[in-house]
Amino acid sequence: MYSVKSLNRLVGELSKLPGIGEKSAERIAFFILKERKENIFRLAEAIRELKERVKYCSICGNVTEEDPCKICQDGTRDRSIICVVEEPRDVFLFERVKRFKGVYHVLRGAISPIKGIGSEDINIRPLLERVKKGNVKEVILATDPNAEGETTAIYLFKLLSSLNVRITRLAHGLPAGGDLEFADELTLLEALEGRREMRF
Amino acid sequence: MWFKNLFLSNFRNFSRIELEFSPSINIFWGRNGEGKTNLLEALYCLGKGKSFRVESGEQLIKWKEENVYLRGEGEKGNKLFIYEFFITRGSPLIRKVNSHRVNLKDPRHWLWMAIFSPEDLRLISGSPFRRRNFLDTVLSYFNFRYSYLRSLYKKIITQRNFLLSLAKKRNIEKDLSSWDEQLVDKGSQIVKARLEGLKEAEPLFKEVYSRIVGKNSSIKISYKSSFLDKPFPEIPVKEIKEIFWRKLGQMKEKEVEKGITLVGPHRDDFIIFVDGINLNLFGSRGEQRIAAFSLKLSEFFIIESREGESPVVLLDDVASELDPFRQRFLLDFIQNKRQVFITTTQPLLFKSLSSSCTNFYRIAEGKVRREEK
Ligand SMILES: [Zn+2]
Repeated sequence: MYSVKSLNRLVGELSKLPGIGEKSAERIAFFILKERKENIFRLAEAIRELKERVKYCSICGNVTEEDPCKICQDGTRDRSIICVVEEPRDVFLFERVKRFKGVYHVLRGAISPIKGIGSEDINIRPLLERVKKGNVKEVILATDPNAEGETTAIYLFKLLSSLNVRITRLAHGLPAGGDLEFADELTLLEALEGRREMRF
Repeated sequence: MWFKNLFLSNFRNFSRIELEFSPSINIFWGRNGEGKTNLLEALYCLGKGKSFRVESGEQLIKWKEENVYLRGEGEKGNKLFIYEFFITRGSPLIRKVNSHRVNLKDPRHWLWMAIFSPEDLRLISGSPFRRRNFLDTVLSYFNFRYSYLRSLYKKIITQRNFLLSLAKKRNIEKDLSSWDEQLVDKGSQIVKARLEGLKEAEPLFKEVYSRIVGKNSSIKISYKSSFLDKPFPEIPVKEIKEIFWRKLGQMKEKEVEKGITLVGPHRDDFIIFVDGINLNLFGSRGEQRIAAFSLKLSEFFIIESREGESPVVLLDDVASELDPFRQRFLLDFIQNKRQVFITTTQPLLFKSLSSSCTNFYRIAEGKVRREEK
């Protein structure tokens, strides 16, 4: 069969991306081959820049180019309410809803034995430090409503319940068993406003 | 409810088929291995967004082809709907109703189906897995929360088992307790829903069973739990949880040793007692089959009463598995139902059905031909 080494290499790399199968990877690779050089170099540069400049905020763990991140620096945000989410993309989701004026804490994962992620492997300890420092009135556990997210919420609840802080969980009505990623803005807003005291 | 027609391309062994159906009885006949059941499967996919035989959609795509397309017009609540189903290799399944994409699992968009296949006759004699699966499926139909709980619970078990399997290598205690909370919380709610569901099904089952055997017997469906000694439907969830916790504590050592979750609804079962006899264990082959058949019929009647009209009935080669007396009962049952699809190798079994509303289709070599009687 006819093959070109560098083309195969690109197809191989592309098909590792989420949601991209071998067929789509091939289609993208041929598109890149045909597209003008400067456009493609700009794409490559954007990818490089992302990986070089973006780091994690030392306070909330979100992705940022400056440390602390813009949200943590913003004096108008209510630092007594912390919304705990699994991934940086969840912060983007909540920000799009616009109603939330508190700050975030990004765990960058959820407890999942199968993926080899235990409670030690996600960004939990800095959250405890933040709450222990005082001035935090409420922690909203906004992990995904699936098995891993629920378990992570329970784990956090147990850790936090000894501290003097209100602990709430997003209301359901979110896509059953799914990710926050698939919730539309209205559903997310309803989940946020309908949040309830967590009990176990 | 009924299907007016079906168009399919590249489904299983068929390339392209277009069929018009009778609103009452449709018989697919032909030799084994010609793909009669595949036609029932196509209808099922169209009506309910999944196969009754396989989990993955890719297995439904014809050899060497890239995608399946199914289309059919169906009537439900006196309204006409156009159902479409798309399977593409490497992509999620898509189901459309009147050109709008719908959630596959949302029963509001289903054209209801009740399928009877030869394996169903082993529902009582077979493994507990079959009975749990049956119970969970029926409970999920009208309880969206139950199907959510069930899929959550499955993942909890997988994760917890994996964690338990690590116990010999490292200390898992800290993480395990959060999974325990989830297991007990979701598991107890599942047990409660099952207990209530069986209580509701019992009188219906009794009626159907008695009619088939032709006499009144005392019938009890009893839930067998891996942690409750005497489960009863009125038990509060709170109490189920407490007992669950206690049992889990007792079994912890054994669970760690074996690396699997030993307590919970995934280990439960139900038993049918007729006149005090445990049919699962001590029933005759005939009795077990009648009980299994009655359970499936109960499923049909539950759907019928909740939906207010008969679901489409699919009978996959079932008649030949029943004795002549039961066959007559089956024929009586289907005669006055809305729409029935039957696969068989022996079309003569159905000769007695009134010819005006019965269509016969001959299946051979990847073709389907409508036949005049
Ligand atoms: Zn920050």
